[in-house]
Amino acid sequence: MRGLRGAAARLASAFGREERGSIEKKPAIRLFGRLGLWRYRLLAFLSIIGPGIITANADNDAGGISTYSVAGARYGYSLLWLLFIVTFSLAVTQEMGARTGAATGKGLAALIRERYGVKWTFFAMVCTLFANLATTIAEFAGVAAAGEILGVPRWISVPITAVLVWVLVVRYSFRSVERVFLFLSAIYIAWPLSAILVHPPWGEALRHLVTPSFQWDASYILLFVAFVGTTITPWGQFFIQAYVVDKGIGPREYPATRVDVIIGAFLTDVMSFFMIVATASTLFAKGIPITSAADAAIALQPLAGALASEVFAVGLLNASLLAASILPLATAYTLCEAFGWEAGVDRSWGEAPAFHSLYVFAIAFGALFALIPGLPLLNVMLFAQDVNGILLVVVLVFAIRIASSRAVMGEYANGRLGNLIAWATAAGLIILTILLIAASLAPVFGIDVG
Amino acid sequence: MATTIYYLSQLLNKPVRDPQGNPVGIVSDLIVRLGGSFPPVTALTLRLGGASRGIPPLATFLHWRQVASVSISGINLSSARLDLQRFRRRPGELLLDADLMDQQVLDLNGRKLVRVNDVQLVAAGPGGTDLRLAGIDVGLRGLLRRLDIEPVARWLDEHTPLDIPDRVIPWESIEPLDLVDLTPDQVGADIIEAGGRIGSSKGLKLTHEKLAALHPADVAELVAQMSAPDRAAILESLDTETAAETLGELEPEMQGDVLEDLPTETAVEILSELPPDEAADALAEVDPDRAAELLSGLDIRDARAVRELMAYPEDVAGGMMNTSFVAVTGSLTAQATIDRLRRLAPPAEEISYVYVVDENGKLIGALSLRDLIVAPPKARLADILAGKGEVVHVRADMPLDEVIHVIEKYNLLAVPVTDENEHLLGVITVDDAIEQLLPEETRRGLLRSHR
Repeated sequence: MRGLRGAAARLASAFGREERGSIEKKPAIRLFGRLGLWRYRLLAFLSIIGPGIITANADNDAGGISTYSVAGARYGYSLLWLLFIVTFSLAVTQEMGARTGAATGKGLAALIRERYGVKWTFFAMVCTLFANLATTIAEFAGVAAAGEILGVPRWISVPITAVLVWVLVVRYSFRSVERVFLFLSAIYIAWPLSAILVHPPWGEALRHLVTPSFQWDASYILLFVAFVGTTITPWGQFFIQAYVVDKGIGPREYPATRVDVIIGAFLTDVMSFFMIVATASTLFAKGIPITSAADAAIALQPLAGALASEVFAVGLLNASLLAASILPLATAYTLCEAFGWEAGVDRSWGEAPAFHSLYVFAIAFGALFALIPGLPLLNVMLFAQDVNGILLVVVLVFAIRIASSRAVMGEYANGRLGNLIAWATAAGLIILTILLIAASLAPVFGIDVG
Repeated sequence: MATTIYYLSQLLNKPVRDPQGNPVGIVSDLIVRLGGSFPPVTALTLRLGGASRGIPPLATFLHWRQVASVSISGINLSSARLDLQRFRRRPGELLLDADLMDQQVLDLNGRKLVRVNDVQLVAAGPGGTDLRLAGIDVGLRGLLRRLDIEPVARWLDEHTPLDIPDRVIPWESIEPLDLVDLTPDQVGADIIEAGGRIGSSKGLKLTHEKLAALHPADVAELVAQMSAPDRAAILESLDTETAAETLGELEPEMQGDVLEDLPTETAVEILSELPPDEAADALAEVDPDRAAELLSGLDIRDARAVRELMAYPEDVAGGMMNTSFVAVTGSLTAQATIDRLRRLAPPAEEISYVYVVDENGKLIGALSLRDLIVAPPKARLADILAGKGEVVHVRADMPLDEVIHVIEKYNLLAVPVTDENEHLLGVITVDDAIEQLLPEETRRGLLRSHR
């Protein structure tokens, strides 16, 4: 009757331990039993609400908080227009990933392998590995920065979190860890509250939301790319698709997931909006330079006063921990899926050696890198987002080509508008990368780009 | 007889030459005709020379008869006159590159899905032209070969303690999942990308004989690892009985997913093969609209039984009971009952007990197969029952843990389930009870130890 329940869930390629359906769809939901139709519908909706919102939430990680804070502190409201545009790109690319998962029942790495062969897969995986390792470093840098604000030296906070992340995920489950962090995400409400309390010039902020502007210098473009790279990420693209596959969401249940994913994308960016407004109306308005994560905490003073640093540190720590528990795992799963290696946290080292090695390697690499003495944490967090932004192009091109292929997706292939926005995002990133290289090299050749 | 081993990656994209040694094109794919342990290569497709990247290359098909010799430097043809045909898929054929390379296939011995890194071929006969599919390379070495860095593996083998294994699974224990859809997406881009593999898998489905020969529980273990579309495709390719037994072995939630994904007609056929209790369990996991659609496809009696079962919550006796059982009236003799059993030939789990009911369906007693056999053939069931105590039964609303307690206490193989008026509704077998009893961890552990 349900003999294979455990095995099936264990074998499902998944991010996390097999809890498939254990809370979401209790078998007690009977057709003509105790629950009526509308309640079934409500439960079905609630059960699949999640992937988008979780990914979106994890998106505002250490890199996100630092990038948005720096954007607000250095350039005021002027980058808000980019947020406005990137939100649509995020919604489109996340929806695309979720739809691909629902239509094919397969992860993005598997599809790249099946469609483009070993060599292209190798290329895509090298890029993904680099981007993910950079992000993992950023998360541990976030832990280090948060720890230092709270008075804990990084050589204590970072190793402890590294071990904690490993133990929690391997011993318990990603899903339960995830729930704790999601709950703690409530602390993000500090930014909107703080922003509202400052009484910023809302008219100006909203005007900047739709008024494009650009500056021709390397540090601006660097931040610009980081801005895109922290909002739309290579790992986020793999993760959303894997999540949908893992939850067994098929074309039939997809409409509810689509709503969730799109809401998730907009919610993330609403939060990003308030982070920028809160820093712009405090740090930028008063001309305070931002040189460390501790400076970014000033944005929370209107709400938390003397406790601003502590509130900020807890928020940063939570964001870093949530992402640090996802990224190494996501990296190991993605690579194993691409190369056909056994994967799963509930498999032993002997059963899945590649998976466990990759998982431990990602955690250790990220943690050790963040421990380099004198590492400028804020810059590391920002730069990691640039790496993400540049390498995102590669993943995005594969994701778009797959999602628009009728042979793979059948009737669920990309529509015109979605394709247009997705390709525009990829093209924009390529142009930005070229600009970034040009602007960085310009001074070398004595070209003045003031 | 000398044989040579090749890997597909060593033959693809190699030149195809005419008898004078002039290249006419490059190898684009090899085609085998399925059947036997070493299916023979029967044709190749090639890209004609001169087709530049911008122009869709002609996918041409060349029968293997025209091949004079095979080596890793290329394929030589026996005649200068090319008998080219436009490639079209035919039933029972497999394209080694398109259908196998980088795809997932079933490893029937290992009971898992594996990804194909390379395809192993064995060549015999004059010029090595008797080329046959031998196995699937799933090892790291195959990956390195595909990346054109196999020398690295050789160097590591010779100069370091590291050993880069070559893991090849014989074709005998491999079952391909499905044919790749070769319909080009858009004219241009994807045709080139697909290397000129034009054709379509529509209407051509693989038969999965090797898979169907496994025990349904093993088939289910494999099916559980597949992506949802593959799952539906595989179940559709199996005969209805095997498909139903396989479905019955899946976890309920996955059963629900499968029933949602399968075409309605197939889903209904499979459902009608399932015992009503299992059908009800599976349907409970299906979206209500879809469940109603499937129920309306069942024949009226099946549908009613399933509907009744679905009305009970999962955690009481009624939710677990099976409604197929053997019930007779007390006026029947032992011999007549045995004769009837022989005629009905009920499945093993239903034959343990024969239930005796009155004309209104009220439960009077239960007789084990032993009771019937040792009784005098002429004895009426009512008389045999007279010598026994009152029949142990449970009410449909009894919580499951109490039901399990009853089964355990009285050492029963099955316990009858009745309504408040003691009308017989169904039975719960000890098998069902054991499954309930095992915590999920244990069930998983048991499964793993079987692998």
